[in-house]
Order: sequence, then structure tokens, then C-alpha cells
Amino acid sequence: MITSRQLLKEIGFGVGGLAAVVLLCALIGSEPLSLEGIVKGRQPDAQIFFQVRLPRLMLAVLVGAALASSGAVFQVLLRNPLAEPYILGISSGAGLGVMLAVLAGFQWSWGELSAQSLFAFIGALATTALVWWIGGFTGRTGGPGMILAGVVVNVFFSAVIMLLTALAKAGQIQTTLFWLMGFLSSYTEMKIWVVSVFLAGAGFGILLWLSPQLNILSLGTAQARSLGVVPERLFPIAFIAASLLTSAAVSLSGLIGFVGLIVPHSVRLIFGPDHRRLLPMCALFGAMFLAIADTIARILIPQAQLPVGVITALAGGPFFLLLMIRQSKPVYGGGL
Amino acid sequence: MSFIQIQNLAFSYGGLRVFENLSLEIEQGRFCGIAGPNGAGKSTLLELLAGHRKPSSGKIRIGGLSPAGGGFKRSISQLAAFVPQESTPVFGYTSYEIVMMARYFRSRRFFFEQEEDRKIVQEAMRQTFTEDLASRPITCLSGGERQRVYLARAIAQETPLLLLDEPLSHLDLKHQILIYEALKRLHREQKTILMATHDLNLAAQYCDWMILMGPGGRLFSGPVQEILTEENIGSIYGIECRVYTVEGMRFFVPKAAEGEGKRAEY
Repeated sequence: MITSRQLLKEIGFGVGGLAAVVLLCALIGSEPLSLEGIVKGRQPDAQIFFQVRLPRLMLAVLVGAALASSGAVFQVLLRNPLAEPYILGISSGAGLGVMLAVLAGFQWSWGELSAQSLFAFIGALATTALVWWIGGFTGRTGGPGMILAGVVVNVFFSAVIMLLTALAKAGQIQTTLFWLMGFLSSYTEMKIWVVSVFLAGAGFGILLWLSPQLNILSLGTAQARSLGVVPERLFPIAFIAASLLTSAAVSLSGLIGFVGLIVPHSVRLIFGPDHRRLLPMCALFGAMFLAIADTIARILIPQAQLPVGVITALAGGPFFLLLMIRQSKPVYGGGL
Repeated sequence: MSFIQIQNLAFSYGGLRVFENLSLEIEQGRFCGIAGPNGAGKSTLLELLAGHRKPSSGKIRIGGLSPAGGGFKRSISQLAAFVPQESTPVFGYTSYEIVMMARYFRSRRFFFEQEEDRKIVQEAMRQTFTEDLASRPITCLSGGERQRVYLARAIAQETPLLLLDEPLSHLDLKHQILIYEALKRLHREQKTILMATHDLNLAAQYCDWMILMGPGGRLFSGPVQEILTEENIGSIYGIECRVYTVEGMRFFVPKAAEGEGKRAEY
């Protein structure tokens, strides 16, 4: 059972926790900062805090929130706890988009929107459409059809990316390689921020509004239909909204894997599967998770820039394995 | 006009014909049992009525509306509640949350449940003896417990029609009787109940209408005393059947038909 007051209280605590995590993460690093110095505006503390660390952490917050909440939605739409933007191939589609933009030598930008992030966005959306289309042959809702479609697309696109990497010149690869491993930059243009926040916000808003229906849909299309949901209407709307969320994140940060898997599962264990609570909590905890992961990446090897995707994948791989082992054990009562 | 009207219904799975030319009428307020051998189409009939499947041809009308029709998609939930034969939950919603899902489209689609919804859910769970299960995740329930939760959800949906696909198949004896009594109360409140079942003895005690379905579209439909006879049961199932009356209740004792028993020995 859930009431508005209780939910608001939980979200309030979550926001507070997130703010504390972000502040803490911003203070630690190769150059430890003092809170006092920042408040008083002492240089270079204040400059590092406001112009280097905080923007990067805000990016981590946005990307983490978007990836985690879209992961939760893909899991319920496909009724498969293993669904995730990365596994569904959406991320590698975005990667291919960037790769093509770099190889084609697109240097132009539209306003301040670079060719790379635009291609990432288009790549993510196009791949979603492709997975959707292939899923049509194997069965979209329930069953492993869409996951398999995603895995096939993912493997294929990854192979194409490798092929292109082999063909590319060394100088060209450097940026793409970083991008493929997923990294968060301190220098994101304002316009990209505005576009991404708008897209992610719209996607999240739609999904939150649909969350009571997502709960019902989790029972499968047949039961959902009898309870009033129109699956052929809800499914595409929610799928597109989740794809928007993913695309916004991927075009900002490259391929950061497993956030959409680890966070929703952990949050579900703590708060239960009700999407009215699950989605906001996934957004908050996803934001915290990525902020912490990026800080670890930043301080682990101070000289080299370790992509945050390496950290999330190192944590995510074993987690995924654990989940698979748990899932394949027969549960009392015949659950999945 | 009958509440449920089925005219010249045809349906097939791929190449497999289930119904060819089925016509059937059921009045409002019937407690109707549906029995027949495996594969006769009991579940398919219920799924067609629930709008989960579209007929290849023919007409289905419930209260004058078509369950698979365009504008009717959402309103089927106002008209018919459905309890599936089996269902594998993926996420661990509590029983209470599962039953509450009946209320979203039934009430005015509030983001949060209203006090009235809570009362209705509690009452439905009381009727199906699932109050104790309220906070348990549906994934951790036994088959019989889960069926009672789904039945509670169907009751909380407050529809004039209940479509129940073997809702008692996993229930123990005591709960079978208790649930039948609960259904009888709903029946008295003028709800129409269609229930697929394999238990002819209990159906004969509680139902007032019976549909016997056989392979190849053979069908008997009528008042329960007229339909559940030695001849009908024998011919539909391909067995021999004796009917005995004990304390005014009729019991059906099946026997392997001549030849069938011999086949089983090999």
C-alpha cells in the first residue's frame, strides 16, 4: 500500500541523500577541497568545485537516473528481469552512430549540438526501432523474444564497431574508444544540457504517469487486458518513453552498462515492485550509484582518465551472473 | 435478449480448429459450469469471451457489446473479470497489491488508492480467505493460495460477469467448498458466473446451468439436471458413467468404457 504522503517523504529523503552524496563526491579527489574554502569563494577550490567537479557530477546524476529508471521500465515491459538498455542493444546502436559520425569526419555542429551526440541519439532510437521490429517476429510481450532480438542486434553492432575500429586511423579512434567505454565529461555545452534534461524529463514524466498501468501490465497482456489496460496502446508509448530516456543518457555519456540492471534490482529488493515508488527511487539511487562510480573512476588512477563504464561493468558483470544463477533456480510456487 | 450471445463462432489455433459453428446463449444471473475433456475448448471459450482472443468468424456479444471490438477494449474490464487457469508472476507484488490492481480502471484512475478501493479490496480478500496473505509476495504463494488471490481480484473488480478458468484446481477440499459458497453468494447478487471445471460433483451441487463441451464442437447446454446425465457425460467424455443420489445430491462415478480399459492395461 502506498500513500502520497509516504511517497513524498521517501522521495524527500532520497533527494537529501543524493545531495549529500554529490557534495561528498565533489569534495574528494586528487585535489581535496574544503567546504569552507568553497563557501568563501577561495581559489582554486571554488573554481574546481563549480566548474570541474559539479558539472561532471550533475551529468552523472542525470545519466544514472535516466539509465536506472529506463532499465526498470524495460524489465516490466518485457516481463524479464534481465532486460536493460545495454543488453537490449540500444547502447551499442548509439555507439555505432557516434563511430559513423567520427569516421565520416563530421565536424559540424548545429547550434552547439555536435554531430556526435546527435548521431548517438539517432543511433539509439533507430536501434530501438530495429529491436522492436525484429521482436515482432519473435513475440514482443512476455517470453524472451525481445531480449533475444536485442542480444542479436547488440552482438552484430558490436562486431561492426570493431570492424570500423580496425579500419580507422589511430587518431580517430581515441575519442570513440573513450566513448564506447562510457565516460562523463566536465564540459558539456549548455544547449545539450537543456535538450537532454528536457528529453529525459519528458520520458520520465510519461512513465511515472503510466506507472499504475505498468504495475498491471507486469501480470502479462492477457490479465492486463481484463483489468482494463490496452496493451497495444500502453506498450509502444512506454517503450518509446523509455527509449527517449535511454537515448538522452547515451548521447551524453557513451556506453555505461549495467546501471539499468543493478539499480532497479536492488531498489526492488528494498522498496518492492510498485512502479509508482520504483521509478522515482530508481532515478534517485541510479543517480547516487553513478555519482559514486564516477568518483571512484576519477580517484582510482588520478593521472589517467578511467572511463566510468569500466567501473560499472566491473561491478555489473558479477551482479548479472549472480542474478542469472538466482533466476534459474526454481522458486517456491513456480515463479520465474 | 440474452446477456451472453454467441452466434456461429469459429476459432482455430493455426490449423487446429477448436470451434466451427458454435452458437450459445446464457441468461444474466446464471451460475454456469463448463466441463468437458482436455482440448475441448473450455479455456478458449472463456478467453474469447474475455476478449483475449479474436474469433476467426462469428459474433460474440456480452450485454450487447463485443469483447474484441474497437471501442470496447477498455470497457471489457467493466463488464467481465477473468481468473486464469495458471499464471506465472515475474515480480513479487504483495497479494494486496495484486487485488488492488482490479481497482485502477474500475474507479476513476487515481494515482493513489482511495479509501473506498481499500474497503472493497479488504472485503474481496475476506470472501476468499486471503486476508492473512495480504502482505505476502505473490511469488511466494502456493498454487491454491494464488488462485484465491486472483479470485479476490476478480471480485474486487465488481463486474456483472465472472469468467473463471478452473479457479479451484489447486485448492484443498475445505477451500473448494468455501469458495463455492462464496460464489453462490455472488450468484445470489445476480452476478453471472462462467466457470470451467473438472469436478462434476461440485458443479452439480452449486451451478444452475451447465455446458458440456466435447471434441469436434459437440455441445450440450442447459439446466444442470438436464445436462448432467449418464448418457451426456458418457458420450462427451467417451466413458461410462453412473449417477447416484445420496441425500438429495447427485454423484457421478466414472468407469472406463468397454475397450478403453483394456487399452490402458497395455
